Amino acid sequence: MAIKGFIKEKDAETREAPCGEDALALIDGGYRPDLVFLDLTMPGIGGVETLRELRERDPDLKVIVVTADVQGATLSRLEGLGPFEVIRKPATKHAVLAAYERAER
Amino acid sequence: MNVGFGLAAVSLSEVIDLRVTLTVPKISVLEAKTIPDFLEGEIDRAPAYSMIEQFFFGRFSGTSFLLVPKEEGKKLAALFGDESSYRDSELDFGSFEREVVVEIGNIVIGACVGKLAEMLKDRVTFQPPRYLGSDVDAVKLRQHLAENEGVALVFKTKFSFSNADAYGLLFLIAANDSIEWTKKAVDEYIEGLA
Repeated sequence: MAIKGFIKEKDAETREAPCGEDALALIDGGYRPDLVFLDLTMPGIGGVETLRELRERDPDLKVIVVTADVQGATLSRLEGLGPFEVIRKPATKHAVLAAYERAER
Repeated sequence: MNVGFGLAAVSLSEVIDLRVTLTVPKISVLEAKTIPDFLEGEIDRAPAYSMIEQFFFGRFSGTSFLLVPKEEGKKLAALFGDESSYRDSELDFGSFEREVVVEIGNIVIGACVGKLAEMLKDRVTFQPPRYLGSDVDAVKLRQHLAENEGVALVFKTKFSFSNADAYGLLFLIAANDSIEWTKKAVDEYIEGLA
């Protein structure tokens, strides 16, 4: 929700999904985002599984993971799924916009 | 245990660019049904707290509670949310303050539980944090914890942000079915230090 506010100034169209299942339903319904900000801690299937499913649907989709999970084992699991970047929480406006701009290039 | 919490404090300080102090955790083993009495005796004399609960799952599993004295919420909102963040959020200030407290809970719990899990050679996953209210007092705490069974392993630490004189309390309660594993893992960790 805070990230959506930060991105507003980039004039980007944004959609939100409260859980991984809803995000995948958006994609399966034909929505084609250029960039996804993905929280790892979500209800339902969770962020890691959501990322895995997103990769299966679109191997080139840029996904920026935002997480408070500090465990090395979690970060290792993510590496295998190719996130564009990982932002540690708190996701400051500066960090979010800098990652957005890198993804835009 | 204080190594894990010390690592958590360092991890937090790196990310939020503030000096975070976590006290050496006090660990208690007690019957789960006595947790409300125990917590009542451990919390400070603030009249009410904002409370966040977050479950974690692994071989080390259980629930964590973050308690922030009600008047500290505004200080934390100022620390973590600058004016533009508040404006961008499109929330009224009370809701923004709540979002900040939940986020702090997520970050502090993630750091402490995550580092502890790593120390015990485990990996945990988290449910999203739940906000349980901003007026949690001893009575409400007791009501919320009334259903616990079995034995509980309770960790208590106090965290503070030195730049802002804001603080909160963190409790971890290991789930009944992970107590034996946790005790064994702690013993193995201590043996490994020798």
